[in-house]
Amino acid sequence: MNRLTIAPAVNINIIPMDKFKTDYLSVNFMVPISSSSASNASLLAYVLKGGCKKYPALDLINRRLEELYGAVFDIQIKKMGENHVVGFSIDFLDDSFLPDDQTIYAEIVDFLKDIIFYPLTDGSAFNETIFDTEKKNLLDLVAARINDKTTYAFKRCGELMASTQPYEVYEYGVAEIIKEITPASLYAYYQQWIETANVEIFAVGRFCDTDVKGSLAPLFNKARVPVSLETMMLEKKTEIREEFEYYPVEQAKLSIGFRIERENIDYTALTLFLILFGASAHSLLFKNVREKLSLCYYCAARIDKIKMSMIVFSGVLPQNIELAKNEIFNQLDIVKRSEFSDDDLSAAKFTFINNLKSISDSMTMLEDYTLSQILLELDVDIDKAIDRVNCLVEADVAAVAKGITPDTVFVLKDNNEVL
Amino acid sequence: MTENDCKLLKEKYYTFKHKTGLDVCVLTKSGHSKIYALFATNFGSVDIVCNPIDGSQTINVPDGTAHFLEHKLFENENEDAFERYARTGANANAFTSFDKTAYLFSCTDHFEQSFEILVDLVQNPYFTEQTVKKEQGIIGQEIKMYEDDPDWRVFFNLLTALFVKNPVNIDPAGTVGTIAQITPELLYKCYNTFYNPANMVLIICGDVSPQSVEELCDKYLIERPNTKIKRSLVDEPEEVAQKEITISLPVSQPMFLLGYKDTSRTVGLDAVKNAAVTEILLEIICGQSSGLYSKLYSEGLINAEFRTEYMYGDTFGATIIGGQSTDPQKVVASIAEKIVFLSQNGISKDDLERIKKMIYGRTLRQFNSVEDTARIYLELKFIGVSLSDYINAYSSVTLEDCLMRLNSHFIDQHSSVSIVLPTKEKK
Repeated sequence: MNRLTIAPAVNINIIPMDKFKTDYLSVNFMVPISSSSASNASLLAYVLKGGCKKYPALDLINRRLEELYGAVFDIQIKKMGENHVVGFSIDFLDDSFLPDDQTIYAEIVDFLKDIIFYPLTDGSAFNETIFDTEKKNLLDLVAARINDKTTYAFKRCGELMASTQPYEVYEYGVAEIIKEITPASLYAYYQQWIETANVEIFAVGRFCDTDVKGSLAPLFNKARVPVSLETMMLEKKTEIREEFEYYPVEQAKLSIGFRIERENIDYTALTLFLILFGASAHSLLFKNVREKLSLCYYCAARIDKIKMSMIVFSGVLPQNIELAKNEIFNQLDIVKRSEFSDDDLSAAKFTFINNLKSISDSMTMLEDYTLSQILLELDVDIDKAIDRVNCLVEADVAAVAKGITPDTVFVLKDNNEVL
Repeated sequence: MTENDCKLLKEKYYTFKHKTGLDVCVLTKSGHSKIYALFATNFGSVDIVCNPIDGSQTINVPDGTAHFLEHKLFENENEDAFERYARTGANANAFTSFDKTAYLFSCTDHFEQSFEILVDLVQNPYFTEQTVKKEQGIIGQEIKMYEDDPDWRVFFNLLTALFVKNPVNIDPAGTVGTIAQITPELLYKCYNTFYNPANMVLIICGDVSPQSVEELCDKYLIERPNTKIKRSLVDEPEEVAQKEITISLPVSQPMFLLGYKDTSRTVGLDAVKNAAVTEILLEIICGQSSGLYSKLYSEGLINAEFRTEYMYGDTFGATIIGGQSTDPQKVVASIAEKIVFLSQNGISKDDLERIKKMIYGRTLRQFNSVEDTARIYLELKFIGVSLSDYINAYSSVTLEDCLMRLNSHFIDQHSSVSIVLPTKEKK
């Protein structure tokens, strides 16, 4: 990978790749998350996507993309640690697959430039038609988060753990704040967001370094003053918090949130712990809570390495909530006491290495992995990561587990159930 | 072994019929880290009748059997297949759909060992009273999870509304009641009938040589009786079962699907061409570059969740359009209006050509990953069509094809609507 800085806190990461039919370009804007930034930046992403000066309506944008051999343009909105991330990505057919020696690379870059930097405005405000439509859509989206109970129960637990911190905000924003945003206030936000966000650009595929730098560098102000990004650790609590939410559901959702000690953490050991504990089909959670006790169809764990939190999430019958909870705590204690087998450890290592090697088979996975490593200020080289995995031993995994403390239990169920 | 060179895709693949009667395909992908293996049988949720190849009496298969069998093949006398894969580092899974069941893994190392596990788990069934009982608990949970899923419910209600007799309207997982009827004997009967080499295919996709795959097949595949299973056509009437099904679930706004039942009975290349025309038509009627999409979107009647799809197998076909809306009936009416408009005023050649360009890019993009490449090949294999024919099916679509299909398929009498309305939540 080649990493170039083209302006203060604006970097281009060029990753050569010639095995795909397409090439991929993305621009990620990162700012500290808050209820204001999540609401404004998310709405901004949708408003910019909805039209620009050159293509002032959705059908014109989509027709342009169809002309460019079905280039796939999309926005991504994510929370990475205590940062709000807006990504604009475009995946397009490589010139070598186009008929009659055509080339679309320059037009693709122009498209991205038009969308991000030349929006449709009315003076110092965004175009009202596009704005109104996207505001409504964002409000619908925020209201719709309860439709997918599985994802909701998982994310909600993470938010509740950080209830006194900016991290508790849903990355798509807060309805009450979104409602107050106007075309003019959003435009003002946009102007300072472009100047102050930390920007990571990814060019994955058959790119020429000088071309990429040449086409993107002029877009960013060399005198910009970027914000600094920081993620605070979760507050220590004296007892485990319990939270309930009620919906008429058949299957209850149990999520348990844990704090992970950051001091002296070995991030590679942390990921190995995660795989062993709850992120594979041979993990302790899968084998015990699902297979052995038949309590649930899914029981797994995920970690936010930047926030240093872990969530175990599962779907259970309401009468089995206590049983499942106890078994989850039990399995964590087993890891702390190093009572897992050599087979469990080697299986986890195999999976970890398989996952690492698989990253280069997907342009978006490569971007996600690299961006995450950049934010943690860690090495992005995958071969070196594989070497580190091979050096890990049982004690490394147990040490990570010992630094993990239960924080919050979140249960989503029907309140008609008699316990 | 036959070498196939799809020049348009710059993809080479190798096919052969192994001496055990199994069709094998190796899709070579240089530079990829993962190798993906897919071992599939032409048996799915629509197969509600089993005519055992040993000549014994026909069985009515309880709903959810194909899916249940899929779960159970992962277990043998000694241990679970996931425990075995754990020792090779492969990432394994399986799925059951309307007309097929597939077992798969992807790995970046220890390919032969993982191949051995895959082939062993598929070829050596082991079902007991105890293992069947345990699975009824797990699948029971899976069924409950889907009962809460509004996307799943709105979709299956559409199939129930569209299809009178066709078993495509059966939930592949079955119900808690139907899976309670499953016994080890039933599983063995279905297995012996449907899981025979003539009814199956093995696909390997990745940076691997076809010769090495053939050697692995020689080493690990078992001789089995070979009988091609013919899926019986259901006598499905042209009319739909119900014009509308509406239920309530705790969702934030109404969700809906508009469906058109396919009454044409095409198979093979004709079916693929049929699908190509239908997909192109869907883009023209209400795709993202259409005036209708823009209008509905700016009026707040649809959002980014709006989607269209044409699904089909050799005994069913349906067009599906929908998403979330505050006024589903208005969206449905607008689509019907647009269809009438196109029927009377014709379709623009520019639109057709531009959409074909989009589809060309979209189709090629599918071959970026070993998983998608293998999956497309699996679909085409069971239909009986080559990769080149698949791509040409789209590029050869004409305006006349579109108009004919518009008038024969997008007909009100063949359509139904499925709606999920929000319930009041209790807190």
